[in-house]
Amino acid sequence: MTDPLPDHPTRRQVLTHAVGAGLALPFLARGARAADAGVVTVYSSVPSLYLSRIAERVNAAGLDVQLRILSAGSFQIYQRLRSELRTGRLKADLFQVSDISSFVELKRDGALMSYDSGVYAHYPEGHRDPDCTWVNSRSILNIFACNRNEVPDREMPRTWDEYADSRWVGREGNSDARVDGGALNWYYSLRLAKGVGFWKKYAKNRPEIFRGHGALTNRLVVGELALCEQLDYVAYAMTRGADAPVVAVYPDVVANCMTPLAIMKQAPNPRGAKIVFDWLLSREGQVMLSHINGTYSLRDDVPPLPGKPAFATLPVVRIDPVDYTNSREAMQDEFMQIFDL
Amino acid sequence: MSSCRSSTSEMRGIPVTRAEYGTGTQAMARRLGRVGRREAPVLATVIILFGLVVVPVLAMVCNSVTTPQGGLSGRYWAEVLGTARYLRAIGHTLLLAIPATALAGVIGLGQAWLIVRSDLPGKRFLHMASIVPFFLSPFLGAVAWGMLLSPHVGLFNRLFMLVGIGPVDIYSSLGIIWVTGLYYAPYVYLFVQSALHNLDPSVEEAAAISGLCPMGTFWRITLPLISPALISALLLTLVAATGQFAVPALLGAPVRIRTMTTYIYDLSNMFPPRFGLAAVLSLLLVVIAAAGLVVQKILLGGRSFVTVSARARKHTVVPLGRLRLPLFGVLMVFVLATTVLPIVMLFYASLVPHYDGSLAFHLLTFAHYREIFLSNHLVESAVWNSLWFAGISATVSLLLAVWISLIMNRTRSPLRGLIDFMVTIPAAIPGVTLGVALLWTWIDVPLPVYGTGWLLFIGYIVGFMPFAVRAVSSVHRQIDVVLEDALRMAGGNALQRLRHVTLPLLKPGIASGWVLVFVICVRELDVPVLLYSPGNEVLSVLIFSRWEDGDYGMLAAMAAIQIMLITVVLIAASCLFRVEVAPPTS
Amino acid sequence: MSFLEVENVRKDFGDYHALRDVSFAVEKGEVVTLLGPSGCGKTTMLRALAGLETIDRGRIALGGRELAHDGRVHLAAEKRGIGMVFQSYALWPHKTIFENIGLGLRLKKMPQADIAARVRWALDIVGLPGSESRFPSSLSGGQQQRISLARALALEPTCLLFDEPMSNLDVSLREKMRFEIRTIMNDAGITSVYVTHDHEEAMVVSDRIMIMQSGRIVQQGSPREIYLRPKSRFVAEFLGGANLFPLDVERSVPVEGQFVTTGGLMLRGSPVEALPPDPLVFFRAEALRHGSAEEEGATVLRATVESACFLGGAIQCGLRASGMAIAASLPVVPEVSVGEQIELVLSPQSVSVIADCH
Repeated sequence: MTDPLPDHPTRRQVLTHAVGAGLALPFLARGARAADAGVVTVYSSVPSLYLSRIAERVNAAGLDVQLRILSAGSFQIYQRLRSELRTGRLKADLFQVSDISSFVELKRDGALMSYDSGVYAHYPEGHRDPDCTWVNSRSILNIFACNRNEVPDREMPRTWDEYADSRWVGREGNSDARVDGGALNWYYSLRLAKGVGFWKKYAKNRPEIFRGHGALTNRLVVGELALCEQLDYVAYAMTRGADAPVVAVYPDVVANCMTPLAIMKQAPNPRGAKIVFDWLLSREGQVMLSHINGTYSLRDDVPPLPGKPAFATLPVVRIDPVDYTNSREAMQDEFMQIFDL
Repeated sequence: MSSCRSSTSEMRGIPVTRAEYGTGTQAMARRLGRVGRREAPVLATVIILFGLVVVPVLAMVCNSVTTPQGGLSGRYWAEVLGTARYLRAIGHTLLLAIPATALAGVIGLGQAWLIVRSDLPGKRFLHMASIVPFFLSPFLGAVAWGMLLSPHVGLFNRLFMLVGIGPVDIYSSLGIIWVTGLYYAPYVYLFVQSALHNLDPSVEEAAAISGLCPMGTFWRITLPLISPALISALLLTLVAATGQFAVPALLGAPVRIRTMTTYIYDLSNMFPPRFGLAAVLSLLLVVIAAAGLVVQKILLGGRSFVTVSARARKHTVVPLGRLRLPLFGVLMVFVLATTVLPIVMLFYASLVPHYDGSLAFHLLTFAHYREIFLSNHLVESAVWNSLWFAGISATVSLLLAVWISLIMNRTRSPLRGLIDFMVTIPAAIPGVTLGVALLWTWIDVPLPVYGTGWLLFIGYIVGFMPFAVRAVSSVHRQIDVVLEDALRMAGGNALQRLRHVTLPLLKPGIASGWVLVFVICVRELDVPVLLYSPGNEVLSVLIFSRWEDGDYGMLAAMAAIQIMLITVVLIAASCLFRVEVAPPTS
Repeated sequence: MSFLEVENVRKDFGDYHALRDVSFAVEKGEVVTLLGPSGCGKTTMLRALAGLETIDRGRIALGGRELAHDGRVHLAAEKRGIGMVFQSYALWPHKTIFENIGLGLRLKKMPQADIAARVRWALDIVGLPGSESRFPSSLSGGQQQRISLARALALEPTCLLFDEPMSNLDVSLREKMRFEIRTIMNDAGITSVYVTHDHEEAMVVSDRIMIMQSGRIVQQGSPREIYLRPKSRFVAEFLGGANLFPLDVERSVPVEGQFVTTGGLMLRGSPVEALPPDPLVFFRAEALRHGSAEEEGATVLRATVESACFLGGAIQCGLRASGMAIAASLPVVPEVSVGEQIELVLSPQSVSVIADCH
């Protein structure tokens, strides 16, 4: 039908084209990044900021694989993996979380691939599974950090007992052992080293409890908290890159939280998974990871990062992975009780 | 009378052949067959909605009464209802939600009355500014206010301390109430302002003639007349405030203010997760929301007091006199508080290397943006993913919404009530709960949904389609069916009627519904945070993970990008497509 | 065989019987009106003719083609070739007048040039030439209704249906439009069924009126027949200005045209062979005239004026004679005032006997 209004169809055409283009754009963008030949998926608790950089490096390393990442908290990821295993719909090839108990359980259930890779020889005992199902890809240490502006040098605590002193009431914080793998490891390790009394005393300070170490960091940097429990690599990143007014303190006891890497037995792409596994645990991969992440590598030929004490010199608490796994729930309940959560 | 008598089959223009009425089972069977054939598309809709909406709720119920070993047990219910900390959380949830709702109510009602009825300057601008917080999301609001009112270093607290007040700690119940109230005020505003617009001005004129002063008219005439809209808005806000996660998670968790949603999130993320307890708390939230809806039904009894005049008449403007400028100032302060300051704060934080509460303009840098655009492909793909998922979800939601609206408004199907109910359910389920429920449901469904982008897509559809249905249906209800009958009489079949009459007339509803769902999908966090899968990261999830990592610089930069995206879409919609962008309120 | 035939049509909405047993026929070119109060089923009947409503029983045929039969056959509305003018005009607000009128033609795949010509033709008929590019909202109610008529006419329907087309117009416009529609319909010669609750409108517009009550046609005939010879109290009262009094059968002599009401009022009327059950004496308010008994056999009434209302064309009076209240519509001259005793004449031709119920 001819439209008696001459300008009407023109506007309509403009709009139609605009809508068409708007709808087509995401399609095109999507089509542009297909190429799924050798896709390897890693479920990892390494923060997405670091993990995405690691993935880019892997993808650029000429390994003929494409690494895809899923980054979330250790427990979230493990839960997801468990659900996938239960329903037989595993999407992950590699699994890497900062919680040793997950690996103990997975191994117990026969979900991990035993892969006798050459890289095992480079890792110390205790940091690799004797049955070759996992290797510690990085170590995170639970230390504490102080805000230089809030805590003068002479008052700065040096031990956990000084950290738990009542003069820090309302000025401290730590992460939540219910939802954070590193925090549970810290709770368990210090309980092992110092007894439950330490925790009861510290809890009286009513520290602020955060879901993860990131938010904690932020509160420390802006000076809302004077001191807090912290991961060594986070404190390192703050002092290295941005000149945050933060001092990392390596106290009398240091909890070591391993981040094992394992290949899933039912990995959709086992060949690709092995390639990525070997590369991430190679000297090249470990140097890259420790630089990007600021974490310790336990590989014998990787030097510590500049400005960090050597791992061997640190008072690290050694834990029994099996006992840790078995007492996990009880520890969480105790933590909840003591900290009134 | 005539307009409501078009039967289902006729709506689709199918010539109906009817069996004669008879007695006995044979006739009964024929009648059932006829109903079945006619209701088949409606029945299919019911089944799809059941799968999308009801099954996840059932999965939740199932989880609340079964142990990990698979046995039936009431122990989770007993534990939640018998443990002080959970009971305290329930109480706390309400103690936060009720004052927040009251705050939102006061702000929204005040804004609506001043903007619709008074002689304030810049009403058009104030109207837009009152809606903006809805699109900004409480999460970003909480992040920004966390920066503004941090006890020692917050910008405001520094100002307060200069004049000897404070510091005000945003990490407190009051802080949560403040931020929640600010960001839910648009709900109240929109409901009340549309009610005020629809109010027949002669009712108020009659009051004035009877000798009531403007304030008396407001309290004794206007307020009672708009009370159904106000009550609906307040209950909706109360339900939303009860079920919201972001603000208490950001501002309450560090100081041990635990609400039901933060417990649900924590219990689901604990190791091993306490899904049974999370399911019980989730169901209790759904019960609270359902109770809200029931209260609304009882209070309103299906009535709508607003007397809509047949002819559009201009409302008399109430002169504010000497209060005009001060009140304008008050509204501007709200614009500053909800929109300008938080956005400026986020932009500033995105431009400094390390936000530490100080103002250091000499340090400004584009480092975070450079990181995003040049070296972090994850963010780039997340931007595309956000656009992609939001665009597709909005489109599919609108298709479904038009279909459902056709059933609701143009058939006499006995299943309409059921469809209406099922479309309302997602509005009563908090985002976190919905995410968990969908996860539990789809992981057991043998379709390639779990672990793919489809799950996220389903989450968006289930969560936000109700907005689309409302947007379309509210327009559809106003279209007289005779306009469609007229084309039938001119020889138009069902498809032609849809194309030439129904769809063109629904266009405003479809367009505003699309923009609304699109924007909500882009900004929404609670649903995707549990449903995304590798390769399908969306912007809001990355923003949240930046927050969990404490990386405020990147967070702010990404939030700035998200805000700009939404702004572009909204401006394009209102300028190019002349869409009245506002959440539907009917 | 008539052009439009409706036989024993029934329609129920649940327990509500909208059409109980409706039968009528319309000749080609005839304009008939379904007249009745709201809820009598007239609109349902019209929608059933249009195909917008199915029927449960009965048969509807148009020009020999069966449109609906017993609920087994139902020809879709869009295939019936019937035009309709709606109460609310039902113009599409998003389309221009040209598009409103031309859309149906376009759907019929008529060539573009023919459409333009036909639209022009239709607009000429309704007296709105040149309004093609306007939008409905820029037209007045009367103009919109004309466009609605033009839209229906442009399709050259075999039959045209009107659903209370005037009820949204104001009184003066309504009176003007009645005559216009009548003229247009006469010129076009299209078979039409008109629905209204306004008896004056029905009388102007139609060749034949069918009065509906509770889903039935209770009487049909020319406007004159219906008005002057109603068959029941309902029809008499619905058309307005009816004086109805129960008959005292004992004292009346029907064959001689002598009627006595139970109140004792004596009236002379046309002779009646047999009385219906529950008989009523009936005469219209306009039948009363000033004067004395100059006419043979006329009744003379002496009445007191209890109320008088000046209406412009007549005076509406409430009278009392022999203790009975009588309504009268008297000429404006001479003036009558309340309390006055007046003498009125009633011609025997104006007085008839009808049944109390149907």
